[in-house]
Amino acid sequence: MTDNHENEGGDALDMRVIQDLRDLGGEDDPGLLFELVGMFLTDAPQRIREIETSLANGDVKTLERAAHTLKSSCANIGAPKLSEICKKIEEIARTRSTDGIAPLLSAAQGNYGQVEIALKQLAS
Amino acid sequence: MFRQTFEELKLTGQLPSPPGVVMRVLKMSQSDSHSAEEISQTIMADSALTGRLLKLANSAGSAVANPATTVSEATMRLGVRTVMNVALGLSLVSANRSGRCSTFDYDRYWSTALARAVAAQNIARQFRTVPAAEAYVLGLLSEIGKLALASVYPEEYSVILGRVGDEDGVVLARVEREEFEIDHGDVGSYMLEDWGLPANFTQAVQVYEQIGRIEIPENSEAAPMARVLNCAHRLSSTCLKASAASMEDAVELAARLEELRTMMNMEPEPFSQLCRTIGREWTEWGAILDVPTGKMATLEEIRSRGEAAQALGVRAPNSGGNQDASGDQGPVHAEVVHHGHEDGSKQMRILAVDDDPMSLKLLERTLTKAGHSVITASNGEAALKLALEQSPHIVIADWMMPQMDGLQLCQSLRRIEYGRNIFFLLLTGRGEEDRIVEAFDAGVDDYVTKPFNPRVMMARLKGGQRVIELQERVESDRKMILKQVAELGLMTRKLRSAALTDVLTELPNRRYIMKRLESDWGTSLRTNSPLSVVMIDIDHFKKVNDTYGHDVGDLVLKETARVLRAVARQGEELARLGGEEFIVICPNSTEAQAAIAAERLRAAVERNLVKSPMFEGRVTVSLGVAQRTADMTSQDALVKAADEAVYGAKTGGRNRACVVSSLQRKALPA
Repeated sequence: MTDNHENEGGDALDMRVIQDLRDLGGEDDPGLLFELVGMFLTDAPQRIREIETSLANGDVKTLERAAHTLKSSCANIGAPKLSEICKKIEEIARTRSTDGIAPLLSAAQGNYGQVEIALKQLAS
Repeated sequence: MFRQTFEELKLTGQLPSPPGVVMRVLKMSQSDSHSAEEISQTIMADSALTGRLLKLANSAGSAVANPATTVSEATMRLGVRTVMNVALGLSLVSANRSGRCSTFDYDRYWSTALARAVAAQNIARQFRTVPAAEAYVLGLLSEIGKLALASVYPEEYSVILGRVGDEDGVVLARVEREEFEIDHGDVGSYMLEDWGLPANFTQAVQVYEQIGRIEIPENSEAAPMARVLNCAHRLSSTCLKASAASMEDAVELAARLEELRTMMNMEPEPFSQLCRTIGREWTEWGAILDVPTGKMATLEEIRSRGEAAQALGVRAPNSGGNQDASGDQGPVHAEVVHHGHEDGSKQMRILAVDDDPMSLKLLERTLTKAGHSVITASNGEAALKLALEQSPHIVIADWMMPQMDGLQLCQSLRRIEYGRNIFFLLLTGRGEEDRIVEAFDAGVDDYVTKPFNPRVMMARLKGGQRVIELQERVESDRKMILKQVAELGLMTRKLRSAALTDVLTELPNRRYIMKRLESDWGTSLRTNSPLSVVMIDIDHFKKVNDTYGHDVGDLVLKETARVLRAVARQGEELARLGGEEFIVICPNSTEAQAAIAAERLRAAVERNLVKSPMFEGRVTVSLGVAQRTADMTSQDALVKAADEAVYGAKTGGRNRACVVSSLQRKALPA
């Protein structure tokens, strides 16, 4: 917990949520946290790619849904900043517009990178 | 006594009955003053019923090229009676798709009934011995007695089904008679009789299962339909079993089908075609009537599976776990997670629904940790199915889901009776709170925002738990009341039975037989059929009593009753009137026919040697026979006439039967 690397992900990940998830697993299901982490690390990149593609071809419906789903997953895994970004994307897409999504997408991609590092560190 | 028991079942009001339109039509037909056109118009008022009826009417060969499009046309082609019977059968399915008996599998009941109906229709078309439409209806309704008993006595029947199952009709019938004094075969045929189906058909329903075990006289009117039903039963049940059978069983089932084919005198290819048609039509009808149908194995499949089993010589592993027979509707997780933890509160069965796998996992884990039993689904359709199958106390569902969202799921659940009692908790996103009124309008009980705080979730659930527990208390009170009412009914019936039975001889007593006579009198007038009675009086009874004592007198009475009961035939109603008098009612009998019966009874009594330590001897009786005549104003006149005939027998020398008409010839006062 005092590792230097930890600070890089420090912003991106809410450790209280991680601890809650550990507690939730408890003794009966110690692998719960890692199962969820695994699900997230598989799912999230797909959602981000989906946002990219649907932004490119103007498919706002798919965009909205992908952002919505990613928003939930981030909240669940303890990545509040990323979740917030997704919420903004979702709100814009809901108005059937794509204005301003591009920069948000970049921010999301960057933030995801940090989340990914932090999550992978949990395993070490 | 079965008829009486059935009448009492009717009084409970719980017997399955066809809904409004058909009930009206049945009443209309009984009154004879309505035209076929009026009846057709009444049926047309129910559009769903009309559609199904026309489908059935048009599936006969000639109609396919020129289908009927209105009920009136169908009526002209098939006849009013047939159309009504079809309407009856079809409407009963929709009205009784579920019920109160917990172990009665309503889905499987109607599924097999439908298979039987389709099989019977096609076989009838093949044999051409009975009308196909009627065969369909009878195939559909032949087991309705079981449904009836499950409706009137859900708890007792639940216990019975748990004990013996319903695979073997004979065993089930025996247990039913012990518990209810009537079995499903009788209930079923009385119900069909009540609804106006002709006697030869209702009789067929009673006997078809036993073809092969008992002899059905060839010229009996029920025989053709019974044979069709028997084939339909064997064919449909064999093919249904075959779909789920192991390879070992496949060999036996293939043999059974072969046996059936030869019995039906059909070549392999047409028989195969018949099976395929039945399988196909079963699925079609299932969709129309909303009855689950699965896969019916074809003849080829059964045969090849059987051959493979024989070639392998070993038992093949059974296929799969729970095959979903009615088609997939999306991924379904049916894991049930049980947990030992209990924090004092009752364990609930909860259905968790979310299309996001992570959220679903979190939800499931949170609930399980709190000690509840959780099942999961990842979409609304699957959730609906699971809810119907597993009856959860609580449903927690995400609002936003593709195809069927949380609100739609809630609305669908609330539409069915069971679903109204479920506690529905909605998971909402942070932006959706201003729409929450919409959710409550849809029937949602409470909501939790995502991502949810486990403590908040538990608090909401606790509230739900209280509601559930209250509901369950109300429900168990209601069940107890119903049970007491049913028990009261049973007890009343047993008491009444006792009050209508003569203690010494165990024959029905005067009260019973006079009521019976009243009823028979009415029937005889209505149907213009003959009615006769035989009065029986033991000879020298007073002398026996005085000489040997009352114990011997009682013995003589008991013995006489025993002999009379043994010799009296089906249809002849015997009772003890009191003292040393007995009576036999002979419906549908002329004086001459009753006289033959009287002679039979007289001879049997005379032949019987009464033996006891204090008395040994032969007893004789004097009998008087009278038939209803036009000048008799009531059944009392009939009894009086028979009485006088007894007097005639006594004065004529005793130990003989005397008929009223012979008295009149001697010009004795009437």
